[in-house]
Amino acid sequence: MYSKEVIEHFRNPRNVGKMKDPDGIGHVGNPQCGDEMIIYIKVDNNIIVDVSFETFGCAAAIASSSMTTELVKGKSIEEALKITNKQVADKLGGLPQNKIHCSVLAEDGIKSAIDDYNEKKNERV
Amino acid sequence: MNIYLDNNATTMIDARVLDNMKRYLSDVYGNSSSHHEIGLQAGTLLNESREKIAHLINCDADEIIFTGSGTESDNMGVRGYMNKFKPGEAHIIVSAIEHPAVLNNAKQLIKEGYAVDFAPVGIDSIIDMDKLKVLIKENTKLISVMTANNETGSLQPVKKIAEFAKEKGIVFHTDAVQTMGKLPVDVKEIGCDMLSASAHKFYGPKGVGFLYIRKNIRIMPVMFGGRHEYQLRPGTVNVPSIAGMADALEYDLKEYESNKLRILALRERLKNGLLSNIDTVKINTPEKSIYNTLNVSLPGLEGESMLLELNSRGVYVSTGSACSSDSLQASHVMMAMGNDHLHAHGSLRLSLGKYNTEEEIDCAVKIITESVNRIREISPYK
Repeated sequence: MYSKEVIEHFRNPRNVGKMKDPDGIGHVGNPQCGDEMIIYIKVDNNIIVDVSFETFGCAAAIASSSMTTELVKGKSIEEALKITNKQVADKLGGLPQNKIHCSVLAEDGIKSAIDDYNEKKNERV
Repeated sequence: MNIYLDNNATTMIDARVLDNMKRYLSDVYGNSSSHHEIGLQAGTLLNESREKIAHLINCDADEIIFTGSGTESDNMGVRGYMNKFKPGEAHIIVSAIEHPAVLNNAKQLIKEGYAVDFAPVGIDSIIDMDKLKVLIKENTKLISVMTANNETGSLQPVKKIAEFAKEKGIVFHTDAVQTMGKLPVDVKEIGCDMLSASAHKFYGPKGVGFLYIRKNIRIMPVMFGGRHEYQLRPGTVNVPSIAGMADALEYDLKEYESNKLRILALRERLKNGLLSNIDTVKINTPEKSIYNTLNVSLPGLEGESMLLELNSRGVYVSTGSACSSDSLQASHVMMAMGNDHLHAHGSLRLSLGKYNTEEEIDCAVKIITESVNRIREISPYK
């Protein structure tokens, strides 16, 4: 039911773990729906220089998190905000219809991390 | 190594049953309704099979109706009995943890205008007799409670329910799909009026089951056609599979004592292995349970990802997680017994069978432990 890419990212997820002193944290989903994602970003000079995640969820949720971190790493904040769930799903070789929401959650996760970063930045200013 | 721990989903056919069935399929191909020699041979095998099963569960041959599955048996029993009464005039009680074969029938009966109540279970996933008793109404016609739950293995107090139902003049049906072949089933001793079973859960073929209906209980047919199976189940009778089912049940009950002891020992080995190797394991299977089933919750991880991880390493299990179901709803059994979502999503069902070995169990403990650790590393809940 899953593509090779989903299985590959699920079995060997990139950028896993809690980040020390992140510049932004995105926390989306909840255990009730079975998917919860925390995305951490480190930003230097408007570039996402590091990113990591912790995900409670199915294989599709883990693979979507992993792929999203790969897509945003090294990108500017503006570029990262342009990444859509469809791109995440396409890069994963597609997701089953009832798992599309996992890629939506990953898109929300990175956006929420960037929002958090922007808020903190404004506080500092 | 392939380690199959999903025997409550289905079992591998017993090699002896398969051998017998090859013979039935090639040699006894007749239509049991035909009045010529070829048909009579099939008719004879059908009668013998009916008598064999009747003898094994302690009833008369004409109290057995052959069906195409456990689900069909449940439909025939539950729906077939309720349809004797007009919607709006009859009430049925089913347990909250029934298999969808009964549960979704009950939900459909609501849509058709029947009154339905769902009897709650405790944290042990066992029905609470007092809470069942208060659900009784003037017009309660049927109670349906499974003998053992397919997810946790909990054994339900079916004898007590049967006794209570009899007192109140209510008909009692039990879905015995998870106990048939695993425990001796005596319908007189249970005291049930109807009982459903399915062959593939006890090392028989798929696509065949039966419904026991006590002699003086009348039901309405749920399918219409020819006059087969006492006019309750039209369609050319699947004699080779029925004969295979009868053989499978005979082997299982003959070898029941030794299989039970061995499988129970394997389950305890599995349980102790998981408890001593993994941090935070909640056992969902109660003390009063069918001996082959172990349901555990592993908070911090989600069942579908565990299932996939184990699958990639050759261990085959199932889960009550929402993510693995098409409906994206957590298991109704896990929720009915009061689990929170984290425990429901992190539940794994390990169901053992007679072909599992000690070596497999030790290997499964190792692989499950490693998989839990890996998935928990990814999870924000450690």
